[in-house]
Amino acid sequence: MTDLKPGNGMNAEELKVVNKPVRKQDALGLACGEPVFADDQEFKGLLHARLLWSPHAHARIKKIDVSAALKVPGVKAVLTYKDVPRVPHTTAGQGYPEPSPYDTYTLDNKVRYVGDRVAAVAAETLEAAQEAVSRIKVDYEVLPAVLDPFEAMKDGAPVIHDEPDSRNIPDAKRNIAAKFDFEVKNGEWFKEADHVLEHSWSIPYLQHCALEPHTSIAYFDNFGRVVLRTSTQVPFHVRRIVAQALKLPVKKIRVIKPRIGGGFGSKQEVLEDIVAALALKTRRPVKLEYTRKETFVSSRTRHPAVCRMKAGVKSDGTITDAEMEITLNTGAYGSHALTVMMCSGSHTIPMYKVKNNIRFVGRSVYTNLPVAGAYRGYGATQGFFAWECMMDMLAERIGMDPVEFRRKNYIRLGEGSPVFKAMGEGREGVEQVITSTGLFEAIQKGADEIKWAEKRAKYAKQSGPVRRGVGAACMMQGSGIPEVDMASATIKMNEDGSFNLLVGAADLGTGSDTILAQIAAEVLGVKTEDIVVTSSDTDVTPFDVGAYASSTTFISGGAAKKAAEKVRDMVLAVGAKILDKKPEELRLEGGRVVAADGASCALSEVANTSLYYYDQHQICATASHYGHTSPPPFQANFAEVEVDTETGKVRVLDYVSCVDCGTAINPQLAEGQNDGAVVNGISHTLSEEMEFSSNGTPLNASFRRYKILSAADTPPVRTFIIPTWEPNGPFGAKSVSEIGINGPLPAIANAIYAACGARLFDAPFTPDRVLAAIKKAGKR
Amino acid sequence: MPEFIAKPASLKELWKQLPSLPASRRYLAGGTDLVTADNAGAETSECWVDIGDLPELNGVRETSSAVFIGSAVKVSELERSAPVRKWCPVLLAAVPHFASPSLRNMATLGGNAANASPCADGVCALVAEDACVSLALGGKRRRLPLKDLFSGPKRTALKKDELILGFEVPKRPHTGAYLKLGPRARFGISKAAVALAAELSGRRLTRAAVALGSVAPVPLYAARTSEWLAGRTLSAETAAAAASLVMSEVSPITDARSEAAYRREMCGVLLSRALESLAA
Repeated sequence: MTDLKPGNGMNAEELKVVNKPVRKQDALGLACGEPVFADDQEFKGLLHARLLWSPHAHARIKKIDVSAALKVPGVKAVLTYKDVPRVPHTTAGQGYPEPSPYDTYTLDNKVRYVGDRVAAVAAETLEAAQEAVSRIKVDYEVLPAVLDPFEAMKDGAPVIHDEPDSRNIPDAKRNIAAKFDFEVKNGEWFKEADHVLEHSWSIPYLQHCALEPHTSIAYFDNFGRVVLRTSTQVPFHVRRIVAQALKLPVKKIRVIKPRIGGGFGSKQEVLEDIVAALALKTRRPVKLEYTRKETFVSSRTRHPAVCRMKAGVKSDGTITDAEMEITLNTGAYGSHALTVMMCSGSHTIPMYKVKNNIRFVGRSVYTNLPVAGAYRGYGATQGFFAWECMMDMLAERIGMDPVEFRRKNYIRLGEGSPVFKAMGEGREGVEQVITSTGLFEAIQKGADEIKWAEKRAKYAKQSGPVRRGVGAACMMQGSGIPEVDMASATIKMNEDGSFNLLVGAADLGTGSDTILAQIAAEVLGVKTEDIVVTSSDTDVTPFDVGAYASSTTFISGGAAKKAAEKVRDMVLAVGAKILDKKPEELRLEGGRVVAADGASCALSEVANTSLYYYDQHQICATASHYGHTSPPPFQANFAEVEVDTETGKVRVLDYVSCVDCGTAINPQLAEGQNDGAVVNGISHTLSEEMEFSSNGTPLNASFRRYKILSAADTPPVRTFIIPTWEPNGPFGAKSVSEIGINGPLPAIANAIYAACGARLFDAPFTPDRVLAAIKKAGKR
Repeated sequence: MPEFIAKPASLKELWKQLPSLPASRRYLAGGTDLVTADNAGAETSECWVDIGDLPELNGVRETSSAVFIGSAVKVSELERSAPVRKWCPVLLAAVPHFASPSLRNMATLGGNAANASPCADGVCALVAEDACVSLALGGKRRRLPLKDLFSGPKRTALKKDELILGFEVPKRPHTGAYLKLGPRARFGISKAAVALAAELSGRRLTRAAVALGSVAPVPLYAARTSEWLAGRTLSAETAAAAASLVMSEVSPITDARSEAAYRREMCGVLLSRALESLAA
């Protein structure tokens, strides 16, 4: 607790750079079309890669003949499973050892979904590569496929991972990629409950739809090392996992992350092994850029889920028991299978005060469908949809206002939960209590903004086919993975008093470069523009796990702050010599070293002194940071909707999202990130769904058929930041990146119910489904 | 894209050029269907004939009895056309539902008709407007009620090389509505759409034409419902009866965009709302 004023409720008024809406460092360059993305750099002799994807949901490759493909002019390499090392690994870019099963091979003699890798080609042109792909002759033994996770767990179901060398699959025979059970038992189940409710909620396959597709270029440096210029959220995990998969020493690989056109979790996936393998084979630079269709089918998706909940409540509003059983479909490989499933419980259950019994039963199940992975929200999306709708149902059953019922049952400052310790990410978690919360202020602000009481009363009496309603949903997330995620930062000083900040943190459009610069600038008493950020390059920047788990502000920000503090002390030591003062009398302010008596010298003088004149040294420091806790950000969401009860069409009229992210390092970027997350969630709620034929072929793998909401559909989204001070975060900060996506499903479902009496349990809430629910509810 | 795109300067030049062009050829107007089909690998002709700027196909003209809308007129131009605003209320109401503002700057009504998709918003509205289509092939011209142009999904009565010159909408005092249910505000193909044109004498419908999109193999003219409506007085009962009649006249399917039963029901809801909007 080294911050200025630890303690809840502190405002950040003394801060000069932090908590200010400074301009995003890369904004102008991006707006002007600077060539900053992976594909914007030209390489002499670049080859183009194309992959042959499986047309079958489940098949064994009996024979594969590439001779015709190799004869296509311009083709330089064709790789099949015979040409690459067989190393079971996971594509999940997580800390080592990854808690995901090692069930994936760079190429295999078995394919497990339509869109699985079969072979890879590198050629002088994209056309030649595509032509060669079409000339690869494959003789498949088509195997029975299973597309439903509940079918997949039954005896006699096709076994998707029957290979002997996969590791860490808990029950391959029943296609179970991950399982976790947890129970707190304080007496007989549901004994104290006056009412017990039970239901299931489901969400479908969803895709991240990042603007930039997965793009990677592999080339060689002067020492023959493989350099991967790639659109990734996890440069250091890419280096490690590609080294593992291709049996290379880590020192033979360098990973450069340029600017990234969005990831949302999809680029926490290490798919770069194949382009590296092609480069190694041809000794030429090779580029692999996924098409949009490939991004939909063969990158990664959100885990579809069925979440059953059974909860008991007393008439006074006490939740007595809660049982949560979630079944995730992880698709053909178990990337993030365990951790997304555990987070569906660990991010949700601690939020609620459950008096007696809690049970969590989680399964992630293999099917012959596309591979699920990390996606913003990471299980909390699936979990909160069930929990927050259940909260509404319980409140209604006991005749309590749903907001009042929530206030009564949410975790408060200083309180803990047995779940924090019991459920970590893929292993035991850490014990923690809530050290900052703005949840109740957020609820109040949101209720005021949406005019909760007034509209609940007004909309209670409606006639006509078009009805309005307001609904609420609250949630929390984490700030990094405690005692797992680690980040580091290096800061060095230049002659003009500017600083280089080298971070492994991966800005993927989020603005993390800017907020890390703000944190360093605050400590060093300079402007954000005086901090030159480099992120991230495994040769140049120190280690960082990467951008995921809402970790960058909290973990990487902590590292940037510590490094800046070390550098500050070095600067003060030199300044003390120049000014002939004691370092304790000095502070950094306005680009100068300032003494209590007003004497001062410019930072440039400090730098020049250290570099050229006296006791010569580079002012430079590196620091690392990891969290012992993962302080949750909190959020209260309120949606106002209009339901056309004759067509089932739902219109979101207003959406208020009040978020407690501690100190917003950059309020404008934080608001923008939350707005984006909310719109993403509204699109899930009303429109998005990947569809498949009965043989597992994707039916809508394009923006033409997979409908993300357009600008014209975007309702008014009003984000309000509720400032708190998190003592464990840099300048009081917590995370903000993911939480917003979890609100719309339950908030809109609850609002629809308030409007027309129909409960929606299966996303997305398309007009057809809403109308069917209205009819079922008998409200028409 | 084909290797060769011909761009004749006039109709006369077009007919002269055609025999020398590759046999596998298609007309290109706004390109919003053709180019996307090409991008998707579903368009394989060897030659496109760009008719987008042919003067004979452009412009909106008014004669004593009809409004003639050239087949190459951009959909976005319709909103700015005084004759369309005056004489084509259903078509005008359909424009905001058509694709998106950007696509409306490219797309043409002729392409909308030639593509013969059952969901075509512009065509569906024109059918309700009682439009006729003028066709030309060399020196030969013919005129068809627009509703008779379509023989199935993506199938028309157009002969090889036959060109849609434009659409004639009879000038008559009438009112109308166009209601559509799609997946989102823009860039959405309808689950169901209803076009209604009505001549009113007070609250009495002297004549009505109902056309529907996305609920039959073709942009559907609902003949029975239209006939039944003639002579009725606007009322909740009339709307309800027309709704149930139109539901028996459509033949929707279940596809990626919607369920058959939902679509059928929506035809009733939308028609009844269209009728109510006239009464309002």
